[in-house]
Formats: sequence, structure tokens, C-alpha cells
Amino acid sequence: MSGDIATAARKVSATFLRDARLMMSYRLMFLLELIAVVASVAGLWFISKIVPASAAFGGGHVSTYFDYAVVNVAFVTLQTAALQSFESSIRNEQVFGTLEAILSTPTRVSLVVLAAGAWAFTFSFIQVAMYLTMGGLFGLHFSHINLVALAVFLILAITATVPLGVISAAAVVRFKQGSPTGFIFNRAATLLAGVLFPVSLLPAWLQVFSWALPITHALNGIRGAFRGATLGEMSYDVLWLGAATIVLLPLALLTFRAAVARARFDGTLGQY
Amino acid sequence: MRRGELFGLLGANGAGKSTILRLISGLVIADSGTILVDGIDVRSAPLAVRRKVALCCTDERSFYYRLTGRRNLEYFGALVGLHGQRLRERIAYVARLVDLTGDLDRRFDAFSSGMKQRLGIARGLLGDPELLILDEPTRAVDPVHAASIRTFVRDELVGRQGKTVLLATNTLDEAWELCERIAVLRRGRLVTIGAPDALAAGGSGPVRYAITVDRTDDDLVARTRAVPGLRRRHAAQRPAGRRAADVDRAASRG
Repeated sequence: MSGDIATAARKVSATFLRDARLMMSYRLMFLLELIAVVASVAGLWFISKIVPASAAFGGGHVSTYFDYAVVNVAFVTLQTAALQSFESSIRNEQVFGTLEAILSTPTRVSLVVLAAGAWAFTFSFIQVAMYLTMGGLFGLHFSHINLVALAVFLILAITATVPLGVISAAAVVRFKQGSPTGFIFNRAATLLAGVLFPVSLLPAWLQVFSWALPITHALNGIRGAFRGATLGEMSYDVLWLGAATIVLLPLALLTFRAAVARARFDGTLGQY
Repeated sequence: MRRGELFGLLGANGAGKSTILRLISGLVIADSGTILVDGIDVRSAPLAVRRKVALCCTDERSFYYRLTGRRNLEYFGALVGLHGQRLRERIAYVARLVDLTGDLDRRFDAFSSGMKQRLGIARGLLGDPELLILDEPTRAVDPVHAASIRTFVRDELVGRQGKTVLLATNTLDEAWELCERIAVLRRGRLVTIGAPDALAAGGSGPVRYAITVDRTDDDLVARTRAVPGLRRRHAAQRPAGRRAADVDRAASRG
């Protein structure tokens, strides 16, 4: 059993190195990412000059718009990674022609999919670090941060959004075209998850949809951690994300396995 | 198939060769029937089968173009369970076998067609499989490298290493030259199976083809002479005023 885990870990590590090397071969992309972060943070800083500080930004504590928005924009990249990495990885393997070569090795399909997220999440953490560094240069406050709460919400943010990405990848295996799941959730996050403005500004009926998005609770917790809130104070969001993980992760893996089995039966695994 | 045998699947494009190979590798699930590899059912225990079988996708699209040959082998080697020093040794070993040692650190997109084919075979050998499945290993390879790949398959893989090899090809000469037994497929059906000599003895004699071309040159003439299995060739100029179809009909009557 421990041998199986070690072998699986080495396969994930090999996939991570593969994806990192592939991305490093596109050097201009890094420069563009950096420019995008600087532009985004600078834009939020200018907007914050005309938006007064408000308790709506700080969950009851007065906070600036800049502190509110920079943290959200930085950490919503985790959801983007979750939603896009698995889907685009499977799609790329289909288009490159490498999917069948990979699946003809003694490697579980679920491992192939989950391993695809290793580099994507690492890269999104690099982006988060770039956002926070730039945010710090523009005046983002770190003095009250609760690191334990932040770590817990980062883990829960990943585990609760990964299943949505895996379901999205299953749709790619089954239907070949890009799945609408990633698009819908990414767009929904911008409008409904309180990335650019507080959820409390939305009409009551739209707030129901906000409540149903994992990223809403993840961002609540992460912003709370930056304010210094304890896990006890944010226990509702912790429980929500934990329950979503327990329900969605097995469901997503079963969905993906069924999609691959169907593609094997149809002989369309490598088609795109 | 028998252990240590070099078995051929022969058929035209679309005959079903690649589908059979993908069925054995577990990439496609059969509607009915059972495939056993060393007594293991492919359908019920695909991972166990894939530890014994390597599908050599010599399709160049099955590699990462922006990575070097070594990086590609490192990745696929990890997927078959190799790591550390053992992985490095296996890469060095298989690269030496397929004569790619000096080229491993070049990017895959800089490889020639023959090198890409050989890297595909090297990848298949990484996990030291008992059954090696080769899907048209000399496709798109020049005659010199095709000959070296055939020699390698017959002398090294089967002769020295004792591997069982299943080779799919649409080249009659390749099947005849290499395989101990051949299964001939047509439109997904098994037409016949046997040793090459037995198949040749039971054949229906030579087949005559008439091919009409608009114009010819020395290169085309040379290439027709090189067609494997060609016993006799007769070239004639189309009489002025006759259409190509008339020539075809006349030839078929002849």
C-alpha cells in the first residue's frame, strides 16, 4: 500500500515536472503574467481612490476597497486553476495525441487527471504571491493575518473547487469540446462570489446562487484570515467547504471514470 | 500468440489492425469476447495487463514536442513505475538499443521521422514489458532506417531479449521478412492465419494490377521497380485519343 502511494506520488511529481518544463519553454508567458498582475493591482488601487472604506468590505469591520479586492482577485486564481487545469490538460493531451500513450501505461485514470493539477496549482500560488507582493507595495495590510486560518481555507478552497474541474474534464473526455462548466463557474465567480464587490450588494435571490458557490465561502474565509479572524469565527464557511469536498470529490472522480469507460467503449478516447 | 513469438497483423488501412492493438492495450473495450494476456483478462484487470504489455505508439504525435527526447522518456518512464537511478539506467539502456544516445538531449521537434519512430520503441521498452506491441513501426521511415528497425525487432527484441512481439503492418514484405506467423485481416475480419510460407503456398497466385498515370519520370519508374513482391512490370504509353478509363478496362481484360 505504501509502495502504491509512493509510486503515485512519483507519477504526480513527474507530471508536475513535465508541465513545468512545458510552460518554461514559453518564456514570454511569464513576462505577460507579471505585467497582467501589475496592471490588475494598479487598476484596483486607482479604483480604491474613489471608493471610500466601508464595513461592507470587512465583514463588519471597516476596510478599504483595495484590501478587499486585491485579496479576492489574488485568490480567485485558485478556482481558475481548479476549473481549467484538468479540463485543459485532458484537452491538450487529446490534441497532442499523448492521451492514449499515457493511458496505455499502468496508471490509474484518476491519477492522470489529478496529477494534471499539480503544476497548475503551483503556478496559481506563484500568481497569488505576485498579487500579494504587488498589493503590499501598493499598501495592502498584512499585520493582522491569521496564518493558520489562511492555510485551512487555502486547502479547503482547493479541495472544494477541484471536483468542479474534474467534472469539467469528464465533459471534455465525453463530448470532446471545451466544457461549459469552467466558463460558467469562472464567470459566476466574478459576478456572484464577491470578487469585485460584496455579495451583500446583490439582490436577495442572487445571493442564493452566491451561497451555492464554493469560491464564495473560500474568499470569505481568506479575507477573514487577512483580518485576523479565527477559525471558530468562520466555522460556518469551514463546514460548508468541508461538506462540499466530501460530497463533490467522490462524485467527480466517479463521473470522470464513467466518462473514460464510455470513451473506451466507443473507441473515442484519443479523439478530439 | 505464443511466448517469444513475433506475430504479425497484416492488412490494408482500415482493416482493424490498430483497433486490435488498442483492444489488447485496454484503450478500447470490446463489445463482446475476451482478451487474455498471460491469463489475465484485459477488461477486468487492465492495470495488471498494462504492466506486462507496452503499446509502442510510434505516432510522432504521442510525444511532447517542446521537450527533449530524454525528458519525454523520463516522464513516460515514471508512468511505468521507474524512478531515480533505475530510470536513468533504463533510459541510457534503451537509448543505446535504438541508437539514440547522442540525440537524447535534442528537442523532440528536432528529431527526424526515423528518430521519432525509434524513440517510440525506446519508450515501449522502458518498462521491460513481456509483450511489445508495435503499430506500423516503419511507417514514414526511409528504407535504410526501416531495415535497421526490422533487424532490431527480429534480432534484438525477439532474438536476444526473448520478447513476445505483436507487429501490425500493411507492408507485405515486412510481415513476410519478420514474422513467424501472420494473421491477415480485411474489414475487421480474420481472413487467414499461418506461417508466411504456408500462406504463400495456399495463395491464389499472382495478381495483376493496371495503374494509369498522367505523366511519368525516372523517379516514378525507379519507385515502381522497388515495389515489394513485384514480379513483372510492363510499361506502355497510352495511345493518343484514348481515355485513361479505356486503358484501365483494356488492362483488366488482359
